[in-house]
Amino acid sequence: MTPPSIFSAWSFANIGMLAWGLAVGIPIAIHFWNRRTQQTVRWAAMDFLLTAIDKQSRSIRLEQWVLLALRMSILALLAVALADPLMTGLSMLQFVPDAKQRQHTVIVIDTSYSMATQSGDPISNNQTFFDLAKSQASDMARQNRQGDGITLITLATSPHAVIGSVAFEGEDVVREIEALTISNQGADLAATITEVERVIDVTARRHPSLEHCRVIFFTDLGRTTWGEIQTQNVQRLIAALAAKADVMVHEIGEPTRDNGAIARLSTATPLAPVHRPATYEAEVHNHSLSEQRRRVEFLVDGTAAAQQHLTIPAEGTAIASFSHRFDTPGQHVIEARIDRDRLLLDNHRWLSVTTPTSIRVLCVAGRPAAARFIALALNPQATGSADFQTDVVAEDALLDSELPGYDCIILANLSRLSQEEVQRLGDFVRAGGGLITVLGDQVQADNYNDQLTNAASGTTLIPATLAELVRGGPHRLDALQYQHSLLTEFRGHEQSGLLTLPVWRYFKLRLLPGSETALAFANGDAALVTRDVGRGRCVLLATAADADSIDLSSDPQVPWSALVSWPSFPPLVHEMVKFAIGGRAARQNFLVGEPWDVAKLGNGSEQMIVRDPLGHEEPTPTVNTSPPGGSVRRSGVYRIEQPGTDLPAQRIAVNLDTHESNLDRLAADGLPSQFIPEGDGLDASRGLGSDAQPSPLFRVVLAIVFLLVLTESTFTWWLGARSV
Amino acid sequence: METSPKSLDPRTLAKLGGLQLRARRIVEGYVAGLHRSPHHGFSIEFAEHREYSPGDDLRYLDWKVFARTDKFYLKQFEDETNLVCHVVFDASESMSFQGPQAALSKLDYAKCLAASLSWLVLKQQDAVGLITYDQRVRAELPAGNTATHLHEVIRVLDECVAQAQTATGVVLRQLAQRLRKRSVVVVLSDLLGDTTALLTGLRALHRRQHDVLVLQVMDRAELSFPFDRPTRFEGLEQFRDVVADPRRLRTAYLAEMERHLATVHRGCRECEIDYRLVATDEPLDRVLTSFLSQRRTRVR
Repeated sequence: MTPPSIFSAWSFANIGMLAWGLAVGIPIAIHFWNRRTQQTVRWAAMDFLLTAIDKQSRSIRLEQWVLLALRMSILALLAVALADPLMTGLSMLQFVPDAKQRQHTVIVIDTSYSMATQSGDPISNNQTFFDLAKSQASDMARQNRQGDGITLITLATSPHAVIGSVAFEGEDVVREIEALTISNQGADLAATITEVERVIDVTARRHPSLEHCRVIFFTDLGRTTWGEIQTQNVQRLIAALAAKADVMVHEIGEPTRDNGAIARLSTATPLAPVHRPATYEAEVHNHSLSEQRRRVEFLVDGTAAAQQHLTIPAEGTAIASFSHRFDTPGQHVIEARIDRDRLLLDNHRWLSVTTPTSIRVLCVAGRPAAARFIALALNPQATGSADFQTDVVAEDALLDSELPGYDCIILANLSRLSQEEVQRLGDFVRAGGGLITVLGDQVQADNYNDQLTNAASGTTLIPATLAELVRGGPHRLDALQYQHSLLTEFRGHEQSGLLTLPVWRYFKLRLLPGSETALAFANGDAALVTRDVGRGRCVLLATAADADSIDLSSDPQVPWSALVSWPSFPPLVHEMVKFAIGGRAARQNFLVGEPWDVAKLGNGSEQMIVRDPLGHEEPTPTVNTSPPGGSVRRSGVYRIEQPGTDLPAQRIAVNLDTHESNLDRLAADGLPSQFIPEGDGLDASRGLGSDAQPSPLFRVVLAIVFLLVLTESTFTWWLGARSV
Repeated sequence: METSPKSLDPRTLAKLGGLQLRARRIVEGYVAGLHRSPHHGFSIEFAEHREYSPGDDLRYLDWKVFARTDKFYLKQFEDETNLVCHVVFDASESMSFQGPQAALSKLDYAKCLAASLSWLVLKQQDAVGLITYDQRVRAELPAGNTATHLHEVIRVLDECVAQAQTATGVVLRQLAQRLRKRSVVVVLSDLLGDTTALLTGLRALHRRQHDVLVLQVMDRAELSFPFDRPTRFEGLEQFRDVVADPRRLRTAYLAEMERHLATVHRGCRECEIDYRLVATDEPLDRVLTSFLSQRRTRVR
């Protein structure tokens, strides 16, 4: 650290105005001009004149010096006042380099969505904390000293060095700051500090003349972001950063907890068929410290459908729900919204749902009874009003079936599949259909591995290859803590029989990349695996789901499993079907920042148009892009259009992860000692720049000028009166 | 006091070419003024008798008056009708000063005064002499009362050029020693210089029984110091040049001037010397009138 310089405590909003300071030469010039234009008199009474001069000379000289000093001071201070002087605060003296030392300033602006909180009165003031941060950072950039460099980084989930290579022109930085937009996510402090350190290192290598470095965070000190600071990892990162730069925090906006957010909008029946009512729930969280009454409004496809008033306890939640029955099949968007508060972004939430006419399931049976129990589990009454309409066909009827008329196809103990069949199934799945493959004693593993995992054809319809048959048992299942969404309904129902199901025979599965295990055996082998294919999903059960799969080679003969007779069988089949066909629905709802594999949504089409919630067209990754896709950045409803196909535009609901809605702040004095907190007099924006309002110092200087003018006038008058 | 004819204003006189012409104008104006004035002529036409005072020459005691009144009076009438007047004229460089508002320099103004006085003396058939000086006596015209003598006086005055430093006191002391016969000595000078020496010289003349009249000729600018702008003062009589802001110096300068004038005035009063301060913007007839009437009053 270099010794502090008193001049570094000053800065000027309009430094060019200091040029008026040259006017201090005017009194001197007038003095010399007077000497040039003085009159000449031949004088007789010199004796008296010289005596008078002798008597007066000392006081006259003093008076003239005083007058000259007064007049020069007036002009100099006037120039200073025009330059709008600012004082950075005495604490800045502790770390600001001297005037000759060049410095690198890293401006870090918090773009987490809590910064979208409106400042002050939400009705009369539309400025958000983010606007304030940008304004104050811009002021700082404008005051950049010649030769000093600035870099700009966002404090975000994925921190981005907007200006990673040092900019020396303040206006360039201001343009970049003004172009910044707020993210719809939280922020990753550790990642940001790492990025800051990287930028500092790069800058130090490229610009060794920038001897001093400082990092200034413009942030609301939201606890969701800054709470990480207590972790050892972040403290270690901060210590490393502080060794390279002065780290400062400029807290933006005023603390507030006044915020409510819709944390969840969901339905228990995402695939409720047409005319079947479904209930939609909106979970509203009150982050404020007092009980609040909020109105929740539901909209269906943009039309108000219901509203409800909730009384939500302090820091608690309440759920509003409404029931709705769609009369037309297809895709629909449910929106829930609450009354306006200081943070608008989390007052809305969307849910994209698909309403089928009914869920039609085609069961292809490897032997006549292979799919009987499955069909029975889906439609026990065999009535037309059930949610699931099942058709059972024999193995050889697969090619004759109109697959696009079904939502899901279940292959039950098929011995083998032809290439043509695989081709048709592939088209079906990529278009969004669900394919469930249930193994059994007839399955020819080699044929499955060849046909259904044929990398050459680009079609993979099972999530894993089949290895050897595992005997022994009974093998029990492990739900893997019900993490897989397929098992969501089983959570909290440990007595459902899922975990007690005995299995004696199963194919050992070798998972393909991208596949997920929903259920496993106690020995760790996968039992139920899933995989997304195109718009559709594939599910593979490692054992049999029929009563006829019996291992004849063993003695005594044992069935593959007791699944069909077990109480968990019907719900498991239901959930498997729901999951398999839910590919479309799951791909219709994202959180901001979640991976967005748009290419998969395109059914292989390379012509896609993605429109964001504001209707702007976004660059679209294609299937050939590697990696395909990216992440969504804004909450709202996106539209994906495929001009080259007959497919209707998809509507994708993108919602916030509402952790950031908690506006609780970290107290500035809770920051580690490496930070120079605002409480010690740091004001980063004033430190380098100016307020939009005239600074108090400006008025002080003008007041001094006014006093000096009065003094000069009085002094001149007094001298004149004395000489009369 | 009567209003002076415009023709006697220094600004008008300045337009007249020769000193003789100026003197004639002044005297004529003065004489014309007498018709309107209760004053009578030159003050040396005083009363016939003067009260005796110790030291007076007893030869001039008027015994007849003594016999009638039992008081001692001196017969002076005859003697003073043969009055001799010496005009002592300062021609030092300081007399060349002419203020920015003045029509005449101090020298020219003093020349007019000297010529006018000479003219008046000669008109009364008295004798007038002229001594010009600076550090020393430059020219000396013995007293005379002929008709052509005035031309000589004016010629000497005309030729007089202001130069060199002044030493009025020294010159007056020298004159006191040289002028044997009691006479009227009129000193025309700005009296700038060594005041102590000046007063010493005046006292010496006074001790020699000369009737001394002092006319201190000053420019109005010297008395009021009216300058406002920074000014370079070029010193006359070998003083150095000075650049000064007159506004700052005015008070101190005027105090010095006041002190000087008061010293001179007081010194003259102590020696019973008639003194008058004359500013060069005063009409000359008024100066003559006031001075002579003042003198007449005092002599009576």
